[in-house]
Amino acid sequence: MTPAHAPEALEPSRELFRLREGSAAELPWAAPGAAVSALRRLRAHRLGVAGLIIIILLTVMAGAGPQLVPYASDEQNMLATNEPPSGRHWFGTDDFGRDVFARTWIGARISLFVGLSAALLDLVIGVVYGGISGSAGGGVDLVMMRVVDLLYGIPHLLSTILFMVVLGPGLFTIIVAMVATGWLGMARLVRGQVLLLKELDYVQAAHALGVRPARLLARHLIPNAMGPILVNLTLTIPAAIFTEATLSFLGLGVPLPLASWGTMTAEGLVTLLTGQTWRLFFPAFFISLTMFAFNAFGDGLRDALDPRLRR
Amino acid sequence: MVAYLLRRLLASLVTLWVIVTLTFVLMHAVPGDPFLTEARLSPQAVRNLRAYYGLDRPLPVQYARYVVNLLRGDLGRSLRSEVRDINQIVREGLPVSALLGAEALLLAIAGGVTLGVLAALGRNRWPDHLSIGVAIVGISVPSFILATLLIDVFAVKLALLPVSLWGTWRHTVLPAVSLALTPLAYLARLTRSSMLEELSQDYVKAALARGLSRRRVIIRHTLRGALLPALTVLGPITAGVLAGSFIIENIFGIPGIGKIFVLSISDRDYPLILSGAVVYSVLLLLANLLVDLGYTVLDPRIRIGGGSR
Repeated sequence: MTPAHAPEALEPSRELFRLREGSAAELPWAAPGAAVSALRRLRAHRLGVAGLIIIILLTVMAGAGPQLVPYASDEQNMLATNEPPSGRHWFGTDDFGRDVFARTWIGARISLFVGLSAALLDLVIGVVYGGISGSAGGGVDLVMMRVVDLLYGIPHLLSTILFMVVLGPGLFTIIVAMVATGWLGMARLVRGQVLLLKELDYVQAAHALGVRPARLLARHLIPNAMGPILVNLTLTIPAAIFTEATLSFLGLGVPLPLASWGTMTAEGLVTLLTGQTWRLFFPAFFISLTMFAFNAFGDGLRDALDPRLRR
Repeated sequence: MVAYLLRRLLASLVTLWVIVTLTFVLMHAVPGDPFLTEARLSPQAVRNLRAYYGLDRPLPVQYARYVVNLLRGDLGRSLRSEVRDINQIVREGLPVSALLGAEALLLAIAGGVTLGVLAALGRNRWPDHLSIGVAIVGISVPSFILATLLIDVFAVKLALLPVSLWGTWRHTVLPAVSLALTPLAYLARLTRSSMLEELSQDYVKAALARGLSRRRVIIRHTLRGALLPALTVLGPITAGVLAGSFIIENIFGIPGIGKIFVLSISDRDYPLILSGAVVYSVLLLLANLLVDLGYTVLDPRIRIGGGSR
């Protein structure tokens, strides 16, 4: 998936940037030179750019889409059930005469909302937990990581389903259920990064100068670990969207009147035999498109932020 | 080596215990009573039912009894399903799920590794483009959508394979393919990049310079190194296939434990949910142990335990 034409000439500037890390730059990874070269590398990643554009379009349509048609997503019209796509109903209607176009973009809202909030919560918990574990070190680190290792052994979908059983169906409970074990990966990543950075001279120097651990973590360690964290964040979003769609498809996710892509696909299954396949096609297509866009963008971002990881 | 294995086994058991305990606590944290939803039961009948399932005892007693029974290999009794004995339910469902899972895994490994190697050897030619296409589809299209697509094309339109249910090998094709595509795509990408890296190693050039045929070098030397990264992800891939079977078994109406597990959730059949969690966790932990073992066999450079250096 990775076209190998990111200019190698950019390597030196990366080296430069690394040398500068020891200086007083507040957010060295975001220092102008580094940001510009990372952006340039991202721009050279065709799939990543395509992903970003699709993400932007999807977001815009999630906001504006439902307003573009004179139907509410849950408005039933029993006189116009199962109509194929036409000028009046762009994506057709379902078996309750609801407008599939309006429902699709409400579904986009749900998917994006779930994906973003789950990823952000994972980020917050993971950064705090991993940051503390990594910078504290010693016994604290050992205990904190043993806990993570233990929980990490639990299959993710399994724990999410179990939490859904307890919390009951709903948009917010889905997010809570996913975050319940979703933050573990981020915590591991952040801890690893902190352990790496801790050994660097400028951190040692700051430590020697008496900078408090909390400040050291917030001002120096976390900002410098932002690259991998950002990549992980981008790749968590499609995973969360996928989990929501899957749970909703199984009937364990978003409660029914809401139009999630997962529930729309599940409701559309019968149309394989009855023929109104547009009811299946649109939600299925847009889940796949969203998954593709976020994965491609995450891939591009990884290559741009860390050329050493490039495959 | 033995010490390492024992330590891993112990760690797995502890994880299992945590899962069992966590699931037990979660199931009992659910508000409401499984028998309150049942229509018109006399208070006496409810009391009898609760006594039958041991639900009238204090929680610690229930927990202790549950763990002891688990250790004896007794999964308990289901609240709702026709067959009450969960051991029997698992005995009937597990072979079905295991067959499907094994088929999907084999397909993913064989297909993914082949595609990855071909892509690396034919870099920037059609095998490479094919592997990229498969990777994009495999990462973007959720298995439940792929499954519906396959049903539509191969079962409804072409009528080549059965739409659903379980019986002959023909019933296993579509579900196995739907389950296998995502791990296949992932393995293909991984194998491609590790193969490319291996091919650029000095020892390959040296071997070629000494006059060995390219085919021989690839088959005898590079493949082995290129397969190692693929092996390391077998654990997560097995987990993915296991989780995927929840969905695939439901779509195709396959009577495996994945379908039973999902059904037990909508039925609020707590003992069955607990057992489902336990069975899945055991399978997963076993798979991870096996992968670790395989790793040490394939790569003698890895001396686990650090003792024998």
